[in-house]
Amino acid sequence: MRRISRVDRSIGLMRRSVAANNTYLCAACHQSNLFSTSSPRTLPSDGKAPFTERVRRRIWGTDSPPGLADPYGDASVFDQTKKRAQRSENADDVEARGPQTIVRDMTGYEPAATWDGLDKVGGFGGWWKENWDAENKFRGFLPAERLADIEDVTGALRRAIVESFALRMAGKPLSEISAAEPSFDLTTEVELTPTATGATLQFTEAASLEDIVLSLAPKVDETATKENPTESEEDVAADRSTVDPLEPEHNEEPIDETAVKEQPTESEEMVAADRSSVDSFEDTRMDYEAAIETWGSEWYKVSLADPEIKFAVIKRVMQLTGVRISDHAIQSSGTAYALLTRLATPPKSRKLVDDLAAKEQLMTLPNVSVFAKRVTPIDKERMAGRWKLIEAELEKRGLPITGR
Amino acid sequence: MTVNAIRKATVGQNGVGAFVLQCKRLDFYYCDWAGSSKGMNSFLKNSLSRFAAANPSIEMTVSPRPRKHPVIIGHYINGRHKAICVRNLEKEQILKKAELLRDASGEKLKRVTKPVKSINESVRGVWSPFHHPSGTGMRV
Repeated sequence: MRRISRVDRSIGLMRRSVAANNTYLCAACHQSNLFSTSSPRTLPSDGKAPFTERVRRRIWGTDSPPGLADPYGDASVFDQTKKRAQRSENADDVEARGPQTIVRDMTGYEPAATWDGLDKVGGFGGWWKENWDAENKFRGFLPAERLADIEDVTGALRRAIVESFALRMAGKPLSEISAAEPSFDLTTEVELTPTATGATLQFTEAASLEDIVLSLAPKVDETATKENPTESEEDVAADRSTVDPLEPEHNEEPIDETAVKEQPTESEEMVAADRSSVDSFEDTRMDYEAAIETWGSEWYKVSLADPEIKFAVIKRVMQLTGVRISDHAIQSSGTAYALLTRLATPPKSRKLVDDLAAKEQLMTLPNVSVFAKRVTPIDKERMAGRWKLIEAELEKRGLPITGR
Repeated sequence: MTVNAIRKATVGQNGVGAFVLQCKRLDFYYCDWAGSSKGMNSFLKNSLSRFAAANPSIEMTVSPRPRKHPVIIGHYINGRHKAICVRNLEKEQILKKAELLRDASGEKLKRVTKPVKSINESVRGVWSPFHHPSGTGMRV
């Protein structure tokens, strides 16, 4: 309902002139100021300092007390900032006016015909360069590409389950499950057996518990220099340093193991590959086709009833596959198999054309034609072979070619 | 003497010798977003392939018509066309409408009051006011 504005009371008119002087009053104060029995404060007209000023002077014991020139006058923040801005503007004007007074010799001046070599004025300057670092692009938690292959999704789910249970066995917090970037899958050899409460893992020599837990630990940048290293850290750094503490001047050239050698030996290649930071998840993806057969179907029954395990598994699966899982799917997935069916379901297509294109029986019929976009009147003319003629005729008559 | 109409060599009677389907094209329009196209989208996904395979002489086109109700438009060999809006219909109902358009002649709808209709010339000829059997016909 629209609010009816209240008509001012006639008594308010009495104080309007006084209240209007002070514009920086909240609504409540303004209202209370509307009427007062005390007479308004006026500055003495005889040139004497006002009473408050005289009190200030007496308090400080001097004729020029410190503080604002008029502490009870322009107390508003806006007034002060406005004055300050005005002062700085004036100062700028003086500075700006200074160099203009210098008379330059303009005899050799030739106006530029092109913009080559001229200073650029305006624009963003180096803002983009400073704020958009092309080398350190943003990388989201989910990979950009969603895994569509059912085998890859199955492998990723089993890996997530094994890693979650491995972390629990090692006594590590499950929140560390996705701390590290996904690398080579070590869990394919691990046997996963469902139990009543969860699952048990049987490790092999190729993939031990330590290896898996280590692979999940986030990589620490050892080369980074700390501002205030602790004593133990200094010791470690000294151990690893190539500088001889006894002969600090005699520095050996640090060996860059990741540098590309012309003819590296096999072991050098392996070491370089291990330490190289450029290895990405895409390079470490593996083919799960053979592994899925060896795993059997027993592991599909692994229970995800424990919410902590379920959350860790889902977090890791999302990181590995790029598939977003709805809350409803999380809630209703009690076993690995239930979760797998949710993961493997392709997302609903947003356009009917995509669904129709997948129907081979329909698309191969000679009397059916499916258009992805709206068939416009111009399209119809074009199909009939008339559009060129219409266009030519419109051009001939100097008419605009409009429409769709 | 009776008045005879101009004799025709042949009279076109569709279905006597051969039957030519009058519907030559069916256009199916749908919308991806609107809820009134739900049944139409389901029809196109599930029933169209069978319907199109059963009627190979009819050209069928499927195209989106965003923000509009779904429509089936039949084009006929007499140059006319018929459009049926199929908003909010189920896919079975839409199939019925498609069959209706397929079987239509393309002519304007007319009220049929007589049970029998024939294009054959009457053996009695066309009635004339000048020739009455009683001899009381109009005298010229």
